[in-house]
Amino acid sequence: MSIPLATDTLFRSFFELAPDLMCIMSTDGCFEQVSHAVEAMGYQADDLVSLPLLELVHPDDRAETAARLTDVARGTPLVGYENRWRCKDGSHRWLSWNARSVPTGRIFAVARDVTEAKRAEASLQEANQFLDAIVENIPNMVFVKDAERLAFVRFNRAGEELLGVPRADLFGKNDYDFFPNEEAAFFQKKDRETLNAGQLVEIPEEPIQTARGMRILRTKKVPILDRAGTPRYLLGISEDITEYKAGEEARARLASIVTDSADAIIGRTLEGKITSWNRSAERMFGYSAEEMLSQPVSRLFPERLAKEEQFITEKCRRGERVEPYETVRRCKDGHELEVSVATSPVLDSSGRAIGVSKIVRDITELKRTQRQLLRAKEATEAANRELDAFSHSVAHDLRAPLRSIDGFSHAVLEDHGHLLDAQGQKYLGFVRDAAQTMAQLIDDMLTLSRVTRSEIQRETIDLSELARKTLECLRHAEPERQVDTIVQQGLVADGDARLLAIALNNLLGNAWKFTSKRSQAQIEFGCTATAAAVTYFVRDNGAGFDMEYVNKLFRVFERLHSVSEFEGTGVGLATVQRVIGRHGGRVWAEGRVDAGATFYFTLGDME
Amino acid sequence: MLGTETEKVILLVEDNPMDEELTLRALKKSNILNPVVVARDGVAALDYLFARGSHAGRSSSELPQLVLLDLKLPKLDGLEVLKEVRHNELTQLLPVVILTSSVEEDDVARGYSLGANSYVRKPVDFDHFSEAVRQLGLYWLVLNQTVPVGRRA
Repeated sequence: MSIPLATDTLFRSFFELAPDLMCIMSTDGCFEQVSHAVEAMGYQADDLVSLPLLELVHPDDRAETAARLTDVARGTPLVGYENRWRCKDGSHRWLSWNARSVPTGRIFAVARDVTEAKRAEASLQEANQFLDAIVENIPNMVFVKDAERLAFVRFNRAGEELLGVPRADLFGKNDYDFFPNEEAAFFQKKDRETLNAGQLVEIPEEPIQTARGMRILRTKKVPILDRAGTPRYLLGISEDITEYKAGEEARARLASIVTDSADAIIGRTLEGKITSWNRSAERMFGYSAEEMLSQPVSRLFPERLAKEEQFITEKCRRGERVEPYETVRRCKDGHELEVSVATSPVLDSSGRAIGVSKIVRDITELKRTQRQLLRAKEATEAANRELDAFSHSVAHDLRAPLRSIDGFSHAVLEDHGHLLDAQGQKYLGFVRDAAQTMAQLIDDMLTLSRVTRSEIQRETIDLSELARKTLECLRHAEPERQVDTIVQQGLVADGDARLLAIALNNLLGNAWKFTSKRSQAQIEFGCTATAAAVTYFVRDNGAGFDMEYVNKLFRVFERLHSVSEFEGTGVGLATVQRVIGRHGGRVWAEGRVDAGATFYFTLGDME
Repeated sequence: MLGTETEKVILLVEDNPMDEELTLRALKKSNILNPVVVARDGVAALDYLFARGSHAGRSSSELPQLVLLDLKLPKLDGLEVLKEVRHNELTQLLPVVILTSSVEEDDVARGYSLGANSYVRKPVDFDHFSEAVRQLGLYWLVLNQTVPVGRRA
């Protein structure tokens, strides 16, 4: 140890000039010479001579350091190995070591204090992690592209979720790798604008194709400049406003419905202060929205109706609606308006009533029409009563003279017939026929009038039975006729027994009449049923009719046959049509001259 | 003037002289030869039945065998006459047939509810009319056994 290690003046001055700690150790790791730089750690250089290096090393680093020393002694140089040294005051500092052994059997070592550098690095890392955590957790998509290629260099979780692409797939790629050309071109155009302008650019709405379909973004793009002011990166922050937009549109639609509604739509608080007042409310009541907003709704109520509003408020407070009811409201000019009002509570998200919304309809016109209708109805009823009286007297008063005409013609023929020649007797026969026809006509007209006016009484009717009885009566009146009758069994319907009897009597009576020239007449009553409706029919093989005149069939007094062919008054089918009409049904006919006729009818919902 | 007790009188209440004539003719044609008393309004009909007014002095116990009653009559209409007849103890069992032009359901229903024994509509065709009258006469004057005259319910 007596041999000075850095005795050479030149070497010595370098040894001491170095800002780093320099030391020469024996191969077993004991200090032989230490530069003055060690004083920065509180030691005197001489204090350390012959102390083993390991004694100053942090206990946690000793094993590793010992191993490295052994390596160095065996000839492996040490570069940049870091461990902690204990200062004189007990604190520790990080040293970075370079060391190697020399042929004289010593170890030359240089140690640099890297404590500050390590601390700075740690705090930088911490700051980075902090920023990363913020960027990562921002609920909007955050991305960074390099300014040159516009390739993605950073991306956050919200962005991954939005696009449905993991960031690892994005790094190094650009918009054209992920989006349709048109979209990518738009994105990059905006990127360039941002970089060229050197300032924030806002894109209020941009569509973007994602794995979850088309979304709408609101994006802000900012250039990130280096110290020289050259843009290096582009930072983008995008908010997904798809739902917001949809909500916005729905709100706009609703708002326009409210605004344009023909009904007045009025919102108010539970305390009665008006919160909304649409155009129809302005028109209906004469107050503008400015005049009415924040005003008490009681301005619309005539004094006598003050209670009504309390009642509505109470209902709404309990979350109940009030179905439309008729009432009156007062307009700005003081006149009272007949209205129909529907009220419902306005609820907050927790279901608590916070206000009242009202839909008010002006029913002045409606009420006026109703009153007119009522008057018209009363007038019609009065007219009907008169008609009743008239019919009654027609029945009585017109028949009496007819009876005289017929009766006395008969008397003349009987008592004085010998005074008349054949022609005269024939003419008196005509007089009798005419009187009887007119009597029949009067009866038919009375039936038609009765069918029109009488109250409908609904019950279950066996139509088959009714048809059978009607045909029996017809057969009884003309027992000499040869008629095949077929009646489908079990046809039951809801209807008015008396009216349906009149209808069937007419239809079957017609069939009977118009088959009178057939040697073998056939009459059938039956029905065809589909899912939609049951259609009844009366079919015969009689004289039929020309379909060209089918429209005339059901008109009063219209006949398709002369009286000399088939007698009749032309009232029967009109009566049938009224009966069926009053049952809400329909009647129609098909026929061919000399090939029979079929009359169909349905029975709908009665009046 | 109205025959003996054994003769069965028909009271025809009818304001229309032509209908009266036709009814009488029809009765005659049907060989119904009973005496017919004609009353031309409701009051006259009741006067006859209750032997008052122009019929005062007639024995009120002698009731007709059959009343043929029209409905539309001057002064008191047929239904009012019927009501009065059924109301009175003396006449309450008297056979009354309504013979009229009207077949209004109301008239038919009220006629029966007031105690009419039959309701017959006068047909326009005289052949039918005389047939109706013939059947009425046959039934009420020949076939039907009435309460003995003067007997009260």
